[in-house]
Amino acid sequence: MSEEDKPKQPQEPEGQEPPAPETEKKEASAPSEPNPKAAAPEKPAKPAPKAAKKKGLSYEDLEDDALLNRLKEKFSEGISSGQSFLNQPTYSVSVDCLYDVMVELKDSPDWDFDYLVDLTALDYLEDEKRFCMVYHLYSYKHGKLIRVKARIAEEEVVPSVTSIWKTADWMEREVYDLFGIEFSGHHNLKRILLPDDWHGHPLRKDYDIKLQDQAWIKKHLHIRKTPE
Amino acid sequence: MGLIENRMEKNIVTTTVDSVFNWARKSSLWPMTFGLACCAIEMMATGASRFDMDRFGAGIFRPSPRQSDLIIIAGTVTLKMAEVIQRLYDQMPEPKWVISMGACSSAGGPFDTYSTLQGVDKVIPVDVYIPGCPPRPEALLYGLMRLQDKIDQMTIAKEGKQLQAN
Repeated sequence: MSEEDKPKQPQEPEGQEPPAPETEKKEASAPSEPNPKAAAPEKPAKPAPKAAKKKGLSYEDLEDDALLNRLKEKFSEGISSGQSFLNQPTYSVSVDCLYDVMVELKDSPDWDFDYLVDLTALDYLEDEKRFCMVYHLYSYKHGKLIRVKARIAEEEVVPSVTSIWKTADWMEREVYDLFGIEFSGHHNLKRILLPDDWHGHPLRKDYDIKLQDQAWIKKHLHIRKTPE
Repeated sequence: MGLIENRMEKNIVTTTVDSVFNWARKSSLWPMTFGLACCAIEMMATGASRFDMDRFGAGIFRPSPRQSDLIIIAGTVTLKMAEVIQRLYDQMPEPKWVISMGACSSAGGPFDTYSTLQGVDKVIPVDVYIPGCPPRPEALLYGLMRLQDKIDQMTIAKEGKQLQAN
């Protein structure tokens, strides 16, 4: 499960086997290595994990993290893993306990994440759990920034965190507009960037970048014949 | 104007009247504030003191389309905005002109995507295209001067071009 949460960046996992479909795609793309100093003498196209890897420049499993331990004791089966990259931790949760985890993170005085920095989604087209919700949380009191991820399948409904952080209102509308992910408990879930009667969700990987909704254009615009 | 237009062949009366009308129109083009994106910053710079657009008579930006005779489409036109632009253009009284400023409004610019109209001339007729990303204020002033030359060619005589070509 931890490997699924790595973003599509050309990095090799430190000391782990690359699992089946996803990382093959990553390794096939030309690696623009983030550690040119370490990789310079070696051939960059080799997919095998390198032995001497510069510390802090790959996803490492979190050991001994207070937040992860606390979350694991509270929601045992919901928290799948924790990782960190360049000292920023990422926690993967399952969508069932997502709302409770968020309440815990906001309200508990040890963590006190009162600022939802961003709420967005990713689309891994070939996976069964297609979308990945990503939440960035910041705590003013402790000065900590974390990322929480949750994989969901295509038609799955995600609990809305609008009641926890008000700013999630428009962020969830944006995710609904561009990905089609629905949120339960959102008071006004409608399109925010595209016109209201647009068909399709453009940021999905199977939506062509140039595809314009011809039905909408026909209805709303009068396209004139352009002059020669 | 409809009473005297298109009645006489070209003669000294029409050329004199033309020169007066065209001079009046080109020297007091009142644009509408329609900055959409980054080109709007350059348009503001052109209206400010260094590259003064007011010395061409075109410094009075009107907020309402009903009081302006020029619309400078400065910025990227999305499909959602194109509907609005059509309505605003229809609200402008004749004679009206359109300057398409920048790459985005001329041809979509770098954004060949699902949301961007590839050129505002798909929805309204454009008189002057100014390329650039964004065009320098001098380029906008040059486009304005070319528009003034275009207005100079208008005539009330019978065989001439009446208004801008559509």
